[in-house]
Amino acid sequence: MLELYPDRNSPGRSPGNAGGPVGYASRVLSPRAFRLVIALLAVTGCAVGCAAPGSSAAQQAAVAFTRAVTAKDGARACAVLAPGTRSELEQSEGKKCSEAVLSLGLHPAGAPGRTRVFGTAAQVKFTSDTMFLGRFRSGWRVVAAGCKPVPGHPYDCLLQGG
Amino acid sequence: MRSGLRRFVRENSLGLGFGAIFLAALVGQAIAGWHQFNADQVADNLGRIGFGRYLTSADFAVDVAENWQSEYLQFLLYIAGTVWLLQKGSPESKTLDQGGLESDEDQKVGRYAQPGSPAWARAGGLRTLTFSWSLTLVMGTIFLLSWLTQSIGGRAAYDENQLQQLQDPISWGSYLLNADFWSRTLQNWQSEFLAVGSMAVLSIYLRQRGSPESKPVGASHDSTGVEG
Repeated sequence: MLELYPDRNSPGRSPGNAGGPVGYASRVLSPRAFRLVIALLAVTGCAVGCAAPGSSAAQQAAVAFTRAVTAKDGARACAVLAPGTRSELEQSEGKKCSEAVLSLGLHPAGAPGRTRVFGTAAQVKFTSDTMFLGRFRSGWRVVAAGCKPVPGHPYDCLLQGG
Repeated sequence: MRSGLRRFVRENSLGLGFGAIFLAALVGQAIAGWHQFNADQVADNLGRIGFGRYLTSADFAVDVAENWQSEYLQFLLYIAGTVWLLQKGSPESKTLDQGGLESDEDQKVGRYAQPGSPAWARAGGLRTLTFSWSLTLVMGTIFLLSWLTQSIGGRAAYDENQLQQLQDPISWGSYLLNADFWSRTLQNWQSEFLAVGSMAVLSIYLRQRGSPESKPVGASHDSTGVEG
C-alpha cells in the first residue's frame, strides 16, 4: 500500500529526512500538495496494468477453470468459458462443451502466479500454464487456456476462441 | 442583472464559444468511441462495456490525450517560435526588424511598466523573468503532462489489445520505443505543424474581413505583422 505521507513524528521516517526526488519534493511542497502529487503519480503510473481491481477476480476465474478441469467437471469448466471460446470448442470438436473441454488434454495448471489486467483483458500465469481471460457482463471468462509462448508470435493454445 | 450577463457573454464570447463546442465535441467523441470500442469487442467475441466504464478506459484516455498533447505542442512551438522566426507578409509574424525578445521598453517591463501592467511585469528579477515566459511554460507543462498521459493510457490500451491477441503485455519503457506510441504521436504532430505552416503562408495572400488573424482586406501582400 503506498504510504502517501509517513508519520512526521516517527524518527527517520519523516519525508523531510528522505533523500532523492521524493525527499526534495516533500520539503518544497505543502503536505496537501505533496499528497496530491504522489496520488496523481500513483494513479497515472499504475494505470490499469498494476495490481488492478480486477486482477484477483480474473485470477479466481482462471483458478476455477483449472480446478474444474482437474476434477473432470466439464460442466463447471464450461461455465467459466467465454461464449466465443465455448462455441468454437463445440464446433471444432463436434461435441458438447462439457465433453469437449475434458478431451483437449489440458494438464493441471499448477499454482497461480502473476496476473496482468488491462481493461477488459487479463493474463494469468500458472506454474505450468498461461491463460487469457476477457471481462463480460457476467464476470471474467476464460478466452484461452493451455497456452505456451512462441517467441515473436501469439501464444499457442490448446483451447482458444475463434 | 440581465444586461450584466449579456455583457459578460459578449465580452467573453470567444472563450465561451470555443469552450462550448469543445465540450460538445468531447461528448460526441466519447459516444462515438464507445460504440466503436464495443463494435470491435463484439467482432472479437469479447464483452461489451458500459458508457461509464468506457469513460474511464485507457482507450478513451489515449484518444483524448494524444490530441491534447499535439495541440499544446502546436501552441508551445508557435508561441516560442514566433519570437525568433519570421514570415514576410504574414500577419502571424512580427515585422522583419522585430526578431528576438525585444527591448524592455517595447515589452513594458520593469521601469517601463505602465499603470495597468501586471505586478510581476513591474517587479523585476525572477518574477518578471518567470512572468515573461509564463505562457510558454504553462503550454509546455500541459503538453508534457498530456503526452505523459498519452503514453500511460496508450500503453494500457496497447497491452489490452496484446492480451486479446494472446500476446504478452509490454512495459511502459518498452512502449515509449514502440511504433504504436510514435505512430499516434507523429500522426498528430504532422497535422498540427501543417496547420500552423499553412496559416502562416496562406494569410499572406488571403483575407478574412474582421478577423484579427487576418490582415486588413486592403493590406498589401508584403505587409508583415499587421492585424485586421
